[in-house]
Amino acid sequence: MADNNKSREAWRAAVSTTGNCLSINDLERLAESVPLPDEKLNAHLAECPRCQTELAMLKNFESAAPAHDEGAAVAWITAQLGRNSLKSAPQTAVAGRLGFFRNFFRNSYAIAAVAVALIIIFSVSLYISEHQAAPQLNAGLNNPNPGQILRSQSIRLIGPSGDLKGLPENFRWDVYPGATSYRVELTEVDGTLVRQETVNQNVLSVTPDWKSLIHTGKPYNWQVTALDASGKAVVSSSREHFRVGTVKP
Amino acid sequence: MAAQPSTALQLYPVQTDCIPDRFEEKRCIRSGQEALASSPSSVSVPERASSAIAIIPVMQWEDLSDEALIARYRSEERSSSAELYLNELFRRHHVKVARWCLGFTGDRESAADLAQEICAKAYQNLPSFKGQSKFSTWLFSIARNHCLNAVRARGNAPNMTSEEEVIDTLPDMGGHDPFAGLERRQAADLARQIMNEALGETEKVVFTLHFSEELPLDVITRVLKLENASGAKAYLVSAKRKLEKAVSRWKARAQGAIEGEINGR
Repeated sequence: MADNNKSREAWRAAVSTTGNCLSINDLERLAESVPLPDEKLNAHLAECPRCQTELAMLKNFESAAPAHDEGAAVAWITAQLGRNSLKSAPQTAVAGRLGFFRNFFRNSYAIAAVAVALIIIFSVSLYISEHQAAPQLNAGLNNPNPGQILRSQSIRLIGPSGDLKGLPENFRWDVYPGATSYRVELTEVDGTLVRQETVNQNVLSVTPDWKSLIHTGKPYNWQVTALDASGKAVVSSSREHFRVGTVKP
Repeated sequence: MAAQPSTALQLYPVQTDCIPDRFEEKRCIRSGQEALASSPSSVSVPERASSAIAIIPVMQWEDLSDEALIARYRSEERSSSAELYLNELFRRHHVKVARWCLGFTGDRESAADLAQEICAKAYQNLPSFKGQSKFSTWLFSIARNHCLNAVRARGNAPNMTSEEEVIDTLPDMGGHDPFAGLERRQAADLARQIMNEALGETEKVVFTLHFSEELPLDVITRVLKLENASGAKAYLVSAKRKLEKAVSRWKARAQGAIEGEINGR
């Protein structure tokens, strides 16, 4: 056993670095077929498997053309390298972690595990949303009735609505708690704004200015937005449709 | 700031004592530009040309050596153009690094990670590059060490040859170990002598990479681009057989010498 260990040591020592091994600069000269200035270095190279190996590796590194079966992979790697800026290049540890995640997602079972986790998260969130108490929808407003819970965040529009015999006298909607003013918008069906006006009550009189903009037979939409004291929009109604003059009196 | 390489012609004042070489080329351009900048703006180009100006074609990227790119990068490190020189420098060596890393890992994703780490390490250590060797040789040193360390760190990978297997495949010395009784250095010299007598060049390289660097055989096959059917394994088996025969011959010669010495007495 002792002899066997001795021989192992000898073989390992034979292929290990010695104090006389060539420097990287000497190896570079040899790789470029430039003769070494010192004959002792040439003699050492002839005897040292280690230096011969280093030289072979350097030559291999310097040889440019990829083997026939690795061209595509090399092109892919160089594209990756080209994409990443050197200054933003990850440190070794970070790159190692990225490598871990790449390997992780390369495995089909890992993808399956992620899918299962997403299904569980979705199911739990669905369960919670169905069993949660309804939120207080007028939160954030200066509600005059703190105990009142509104089931809708929309403003209910009263009229005008649908096909009308004549021009409407006013636009009317329900009071929205906490709103200090309302912005009324009249639009064409394609969303083009015809006119807007802000009022402090839940009614807007259709003045001659408004009437001049509402044409018989043309459909319009209108919408009300509740504003708080700072003029910030709190909630908007749905759009209500109306058209004048399509119903025979 | 030095001009970007282009195909255009530009006017540079030439200093007669400016002799470009690998590392002084950028000094010529810079000194020329400084002279140009210091010349009166009212002087017309012909007047300046008649005083000390020659027309020099501005160099393209290919005209700049790696070392010139580094020199320009260093001289303009704080300018926005510095990164262009660096990008060009590393772009030239991307394929080498990619091939090298692919040899060590065998798959492109891991190789891309390794290559990125090597380029980052080279960038971080660029200030320590003194120009005593070529940049590509310096980069090889980084790539070599980084990949060997990475393989050792991943030594528990399934395709990695175990330490036991490595030791068991060392040449069998038979009943009498020729190294027994020798000093460590003498034993190493003898082993080296036997290797050089018995093995071919590739066998020695495979043997060294496997037993010294403890590289797995599949990695050696890829790194050395061995195209025979069994790759590095064939060379290692052959080397082991040749070494065992060589040791037997050496023992026979030694025995004959001893007997001759005894008979001579």
